[in-house]
Amino acid sequence: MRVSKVGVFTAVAAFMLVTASALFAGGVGEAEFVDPEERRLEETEELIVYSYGSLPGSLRDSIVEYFDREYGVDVELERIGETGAVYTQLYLERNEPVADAVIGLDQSYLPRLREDRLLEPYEPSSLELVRPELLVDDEFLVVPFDYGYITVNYDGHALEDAPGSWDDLLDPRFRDSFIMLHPGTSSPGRNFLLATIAEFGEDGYLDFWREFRDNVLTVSGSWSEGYGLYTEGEAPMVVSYETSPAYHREFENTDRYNALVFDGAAYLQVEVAGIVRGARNRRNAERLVEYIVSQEFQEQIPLSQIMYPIHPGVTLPDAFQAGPDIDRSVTLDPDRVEENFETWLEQWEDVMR
Amino acid sequence: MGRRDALRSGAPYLIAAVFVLLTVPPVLTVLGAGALERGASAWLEEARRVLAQTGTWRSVRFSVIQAVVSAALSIAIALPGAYFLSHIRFAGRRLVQSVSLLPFVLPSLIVILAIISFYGRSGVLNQLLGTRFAFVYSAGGIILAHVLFNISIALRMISAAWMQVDQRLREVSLSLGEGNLRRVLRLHLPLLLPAILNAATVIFLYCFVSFGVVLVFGGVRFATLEVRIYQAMFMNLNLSAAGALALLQLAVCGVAVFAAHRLAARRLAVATRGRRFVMRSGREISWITTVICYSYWVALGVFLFTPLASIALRAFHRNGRWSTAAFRSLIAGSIGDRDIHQIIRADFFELVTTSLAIAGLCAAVTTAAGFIAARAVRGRKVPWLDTLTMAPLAISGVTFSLGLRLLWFGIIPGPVLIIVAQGVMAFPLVFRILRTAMEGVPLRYTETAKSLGAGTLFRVRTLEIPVLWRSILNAYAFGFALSLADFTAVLTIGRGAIVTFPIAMYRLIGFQSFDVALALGVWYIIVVAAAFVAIDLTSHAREKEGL
Amino acid sequence: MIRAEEIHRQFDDFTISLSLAVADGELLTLLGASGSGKTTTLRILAGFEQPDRGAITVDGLDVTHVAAQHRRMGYVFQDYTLFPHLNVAENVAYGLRVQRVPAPERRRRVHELLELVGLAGFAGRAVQTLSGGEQQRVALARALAVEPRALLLDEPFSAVDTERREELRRYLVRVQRGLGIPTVFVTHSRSEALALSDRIIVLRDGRIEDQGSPERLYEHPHTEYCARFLGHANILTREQLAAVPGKAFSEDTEEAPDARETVSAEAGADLQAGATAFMIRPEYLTTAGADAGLSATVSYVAYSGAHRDYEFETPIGTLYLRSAERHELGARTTLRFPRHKLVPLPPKQ
Repeated sequence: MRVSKVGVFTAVAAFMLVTASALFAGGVGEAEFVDPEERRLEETEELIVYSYGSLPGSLRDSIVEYFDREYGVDVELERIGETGAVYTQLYLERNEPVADAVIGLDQSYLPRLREDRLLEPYEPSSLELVRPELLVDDEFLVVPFDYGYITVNYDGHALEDAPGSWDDLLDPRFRDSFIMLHPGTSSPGRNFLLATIAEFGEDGYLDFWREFRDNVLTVSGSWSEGYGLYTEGEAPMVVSYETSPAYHREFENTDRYNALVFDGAAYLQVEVAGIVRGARNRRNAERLVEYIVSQEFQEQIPLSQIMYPIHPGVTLPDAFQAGPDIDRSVTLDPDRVEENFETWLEQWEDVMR
Repeated sequence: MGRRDALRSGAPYLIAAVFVLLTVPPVLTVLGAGALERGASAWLEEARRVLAQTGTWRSVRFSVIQAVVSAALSIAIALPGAYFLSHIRFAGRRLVQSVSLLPFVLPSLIVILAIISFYGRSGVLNQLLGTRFAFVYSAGGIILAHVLFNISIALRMISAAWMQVDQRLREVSLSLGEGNLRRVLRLHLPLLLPAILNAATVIFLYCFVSFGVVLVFGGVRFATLEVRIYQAMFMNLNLSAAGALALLQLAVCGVAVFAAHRLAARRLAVATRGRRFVMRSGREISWITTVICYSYWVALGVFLFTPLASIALRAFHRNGRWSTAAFRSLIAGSIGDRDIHQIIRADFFELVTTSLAIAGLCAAVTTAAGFIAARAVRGRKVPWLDTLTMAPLAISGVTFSLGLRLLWFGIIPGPVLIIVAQGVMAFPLVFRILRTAMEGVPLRYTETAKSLGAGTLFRVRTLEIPVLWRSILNAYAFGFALSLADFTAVLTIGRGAIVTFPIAMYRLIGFQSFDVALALGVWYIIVVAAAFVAIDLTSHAREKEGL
Repeated sequence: MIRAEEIHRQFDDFTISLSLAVADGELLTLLGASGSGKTTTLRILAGFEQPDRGAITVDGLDVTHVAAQHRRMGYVFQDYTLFPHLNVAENVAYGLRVQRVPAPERRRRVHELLELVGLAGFAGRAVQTLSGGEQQRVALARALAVEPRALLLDEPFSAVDTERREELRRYLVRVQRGLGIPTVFVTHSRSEALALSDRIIVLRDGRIEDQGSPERLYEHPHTEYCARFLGHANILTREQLAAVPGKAFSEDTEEAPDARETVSAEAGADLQAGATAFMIRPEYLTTAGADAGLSATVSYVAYSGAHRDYEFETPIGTLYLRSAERHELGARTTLRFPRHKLVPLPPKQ
């Protein structure tokens, strides 16, 4: 076959364009931004916020209405896929930031946020009342937004004698009764794995899983799928939030579903918000952070997010009161997690295989 | 050499260039960031580390095995169906053709839930048998789901090719006294091999990059490469590792596609010269064939639709009791005291129009692009281009959509970007369908029209479109289906501002309103089924004109 | 008038290189074995293929770089290639739609054309319901509808059954003569070529082997290949001929002096002098009584109505003879050679 000049030309052109776009995409070096102190004085008319896809519409509306009412500011709240995708987006845009603020990352992202320098610190004025353990970053790169505990949920109709302790979970009577969420693809799954490491230590957690694997029916990729299987009755236990049963109590009037807390301790997940480094609408971003920690906003958290509000002044709905008591929050140091998680995950996969 | 010849010989390069420009920059934006950030040597170091992990190769092996088995099974099950569809004019033929596409348009989450509600431990089947088999949570479950998803590809692609086998070849074989079965095995299968390999390649790729299905049914035991890419990218936030794994995935898929091409290229394309194939109908069909034919469709129908039916029934349950509460909720627009609009951010009418408009446009654009591309390389063997155009199937949709958004947002409006993203994802299938069909039409038709003075546009309008009408609609239907079922591109690019059916369903499920999500799913199925029947009716209306 | 001037087209394993001209109203046949390049030449004329070099002109206008759809050359394929989605009338009207001929005019023309090819009542029929011959007539009508500047026919009769072929030929010749346009006809059938053509070009490996009127090519071929390709031929070398006794040559002067003149005019004495072999058609050999010619024994007979085909064993080898006379298998006789029917052939290349 004869190769024409046109063919050669297009091939060369394509190659050059591809190379050029690759260079463009990467960006070179690290951008220097105008000092936040200067930007904060500037009054602007918009605010761009990133969050994850499942942020409730009511919370979005609340933010949009608040800014429109109070400051006449247009808020664009973009709900990107999953939490990891939100982070990736911020990371890829770090030299030319689009967003001013982000809502919905959790404490496990802190080490990366620091290393990649994606956020600017800001300390809102009204955090005095917040429980200290929720203030996960003392430099205030992030502030808490809501929180919850990762626990085992069970279906009271399918399981009459629920397990009472971690050891009890290993009982053969629970064979194929547990739906795990994949720690590699799901945040609650990841935190549940961390909870077992916190409970049994780095030396002991694999032994737990080795024994527990027979009781695991399957490992779902996301919370939606796993929780779907659970409510479809495929297995009576699932990894979820300690607050999940509150949904069924509130909206379906059933107390069929419950959360399990062993020894009054549960793994804490704090969702956070922060201001993007180099934010053009820094002043509005600060207002957003202030609004998020305010009582007015926090009042809406329980029944929209089905999570706990960080503001102690909020009265919890009845559905939330019925859950088990938690005296002690468990967490692993985020830096330690960051350093070891890949190894832990690989070891866990080897055991579960 | 004339100008036209130069254009013609340049066409594959031009198509490749456009294609590469559309796909590579977005992917590089995301995956190449790792390399540019940390420098090439650090990237290579990371790539070496990832490729040295036994888990990586375990995933490759498992991905290949399950994809091969899924493709082989889909085709084996679809073959008799493709025979009946192409050879026998039985009652309900249209219906079968329209409806077999349905599993394909459902968001994978719905299909997964459907399979579980039927085959699951507490599913309908186990309840009927009074057992609690957990067979779906195994490689078996993965393959079951994949076959369910992909059987319609095999049915459509193979039956379309089978209709083009020269009637005279059949007659020769009949005159040689070959029995039906032997004729199928010795004459038809070899002739159909390119079409079969074509379908197998597409199914292989869909299964190879499968994500949700594999995680739910396979758990950790059976993780595909795609799962590891996702993990590296969104959980470990390691773009270098994700890039290396994505390259590995692309390489494995490339090898598979190229091998299939080589295998198919050794065979002649389906012989289409000669007399038009006449489908048997009425008295020409023996009673035994009729019985086998209908039994087959009933069995396939049970296989494909009982899970969907069982999940539809599930929409009529609330708290373990029969109830139309979910549908009432949808109509009333609230669940308990929660406004459904707050959850899905769109009313029903908006949902239908947005979904159909995006899917309709996307399918139209993709079909047109596929038609132009297939036409430009018509009558030529360009295996490298055929391989290249399959690449989107081996690229993760999230990565691609994210890159597209990063590169073009603000320059190109969101809905257009969504259509581009979905279009690129649907292109491989659409292009293959059109290319195969176009190669089946003798060039002499075009030449005759040329000698009668017909210019390009006139030929396309009066000759090529009418003659290829069935395949064009086929391609359109797949483009439409893929766009409708898409969740990733709409979410990643639309960022919640654009709501289609799958997004609405995921949102409802995210708020634990399963029954309402499924009730919406039932409406969705009704809307989609109506759209497909409309598409296929158009095809049959044209067919009556003598095609 | 169509001309192809020194057109050249290179393929992997073979090359086309030739010039030709067809006058208005002339029917030129490209005759050759399969693979000789006849169809490709036709496709180059039509514009489906591009020559690497050379020019195509129509009525003096260079159309080498004009696309096929703008050349207005009617092309008819071997297997009709009727558009399957259109009925008979729609097929014929296709080219008229291209020209945006108004509908009433279009209907009138289609009706005329269908009448011309003897398919007046077939307008609404689906093309699949037509016989091969009928389909080919539709294809011809379709090609003629656009009033082409030339007609290019690629083995148009080969897919039609033998009985219909004769009838179809008559249609073609009548229509072609009536229109007076240049026509190029491709075939591998010598009887078709001889019966239809004004002129024949014999192609061999992409080059012109010989050309001329059917009669000239048949009676006085210039090459051995051509002699054999146009019919049965006895080829005799000088040595073989020298072994034939003198009494076997007859000087029959009544027969066709004009053909003799043709040969002397075209080939000349040089050819005769340089000839290493001679050809004589089987129908020109005659039988004679004992000792009147070359002794021969009948070794094969085939009866075909009007005549019989014989093979004779002779001292100089097997000779073919076609005659209405009757000889029994094994019968002995002698053969005579009319001297002026011996056609000298140039040395083989």
